[in-house]
Amino acid sequence: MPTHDQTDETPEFADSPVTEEERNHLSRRSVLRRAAGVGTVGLAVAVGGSAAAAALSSRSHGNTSTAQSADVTRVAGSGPIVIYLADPRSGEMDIFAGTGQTHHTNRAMAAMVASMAPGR
Amino acid sequence: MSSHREAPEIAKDPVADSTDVYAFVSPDQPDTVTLIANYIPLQGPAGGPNFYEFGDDVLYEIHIDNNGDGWPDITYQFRFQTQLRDPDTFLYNTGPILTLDSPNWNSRQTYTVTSVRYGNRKLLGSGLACPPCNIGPLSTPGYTQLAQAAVHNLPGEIKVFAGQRAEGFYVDLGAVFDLGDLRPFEQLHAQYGMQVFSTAGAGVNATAALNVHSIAIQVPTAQLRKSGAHGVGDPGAVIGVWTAASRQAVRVFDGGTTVSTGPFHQVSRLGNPLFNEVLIPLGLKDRWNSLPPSDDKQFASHVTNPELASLLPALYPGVFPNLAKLVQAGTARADLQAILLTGLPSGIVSGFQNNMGSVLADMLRLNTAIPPSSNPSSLGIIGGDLAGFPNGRRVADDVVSIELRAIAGATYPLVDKSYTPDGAAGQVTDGLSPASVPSGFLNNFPYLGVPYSGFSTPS
Repeated sequence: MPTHDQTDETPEFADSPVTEEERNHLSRRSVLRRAAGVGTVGLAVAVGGSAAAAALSSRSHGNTSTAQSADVTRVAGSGPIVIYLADPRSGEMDIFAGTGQTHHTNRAMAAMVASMAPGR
Repeated sequence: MSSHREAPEIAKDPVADSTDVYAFVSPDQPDTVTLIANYIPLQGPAGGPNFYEFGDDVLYEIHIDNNGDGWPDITYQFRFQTQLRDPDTFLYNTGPILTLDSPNWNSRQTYTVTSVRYGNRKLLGSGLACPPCNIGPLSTPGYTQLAQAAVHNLPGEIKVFAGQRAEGFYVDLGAVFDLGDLRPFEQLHAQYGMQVFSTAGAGVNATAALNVHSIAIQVPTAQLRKSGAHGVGDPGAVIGVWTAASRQAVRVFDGGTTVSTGPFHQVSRLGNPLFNEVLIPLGLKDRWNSLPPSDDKQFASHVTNPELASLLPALYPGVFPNLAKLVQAGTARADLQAILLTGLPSGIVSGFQNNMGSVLADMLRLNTAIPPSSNPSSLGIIGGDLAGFPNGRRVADDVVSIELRAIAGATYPLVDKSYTPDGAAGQVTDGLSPASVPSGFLNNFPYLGVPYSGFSTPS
């Protein structure tokens, strides 16, 4: 059985042609497999702490209202949050914070972030 | 080299580059095992003012598998923190560093050690001081004592050290990477028709004046292997060891600072010396570094049919005729698979085994029931010394010659007694020995020699 899956500081491993038994053994890889499979065009959005959610909640390009910032103060934790849209068209995104990573699909949010990206 | 700059991506990231790993029954404390993982290769000792340091943003780990599945049962994790005492000076130190808390030492590192045993994390120590780099007689006088003060005792009768050491891995890089030249035999090299060498030469240790950063931990053997009494023939006496370094998934450069976030991803790994360096092809090396040993089955063909075995007869015409036939026949090298991927089962070498089952996994496999040798041979098992490589690895073991000879066919009779190795297979070497390491080695923890000082060995 995996010995480290419960720990925060446990390295993820790259995708690999492993057996089902081995795959269960390395359950945290599944997140990475999804991330690796969504395409080759990458867009990374990095914003610091609560400013991240503020930026994402604003549809204006770069303007953040006081009210929006106030909402963001309810977000727990500190430190940067990074959103990675490997392929904005798919709506699939990985969100990195602390030592964690989650995977979401949100086409509207992806389109919004993509519209704010330089050169898009 | 053993694993210095061995893959395209990690060659750009020396702070996370694992260069050597050692695992041996401590000669002066035979109820303990010493594990050493080296990082940050090829340090010119005079490399100031920003002397070498571990990465604060790197997760360093030493893994132990004690059930043969190629997956860690026990891990020691090391995280470093750098403190800058005076950001207004460009100097590493503003006077002699006489103690580990010297106010003259500007840029210092401390670290934490955490054990993960069967999924349970435990902080073993924090705020543990690293020694400074060895700068010279004005900055770091009494360096040996200064570094010895950085050996810390942890709960559970564990010792730990993390800091600069003299490079103990010896190899004739300059010749080997010049199209496989081995100076002691270079007159026999094909030389591509250029007739450069007419006589044999002496080996040159390319790492003779270089330092490295070591993480060394000495642990009571009973804490590493499976519980219960274990004789040499008991598979439970064997542990598999490898080291790894990981970085967080995302790194953002932001106004002069670097921000890391996300889960840790393994970027470097090392078990047997030269495994990724020599056996794994360039296009797969970065991938190999990202995987655990439990996934090594996919690389097995590079072990059983190594490229180097086909190169030796071509580079040294007429010197390896039997090896050439073996290669031409496409014979899978079960000897190399046993040595590097499963361990040697009982009945192959009298009085020895370090087999952990059928899982193909690159790990240093140490039979902890083999006592330290009172008369060690740097050639380890092929030199008749069961306490040396590939039974784990000691700091002075001549792993280059051992692996060269194994690949040249010297160990193939272990699995096929009808095979006669070429005469050269048992002699091939890059011409170096433990005496090629000017610093020498220590008789006690952390065993690797005192680092070369920048003053004495300028770049």
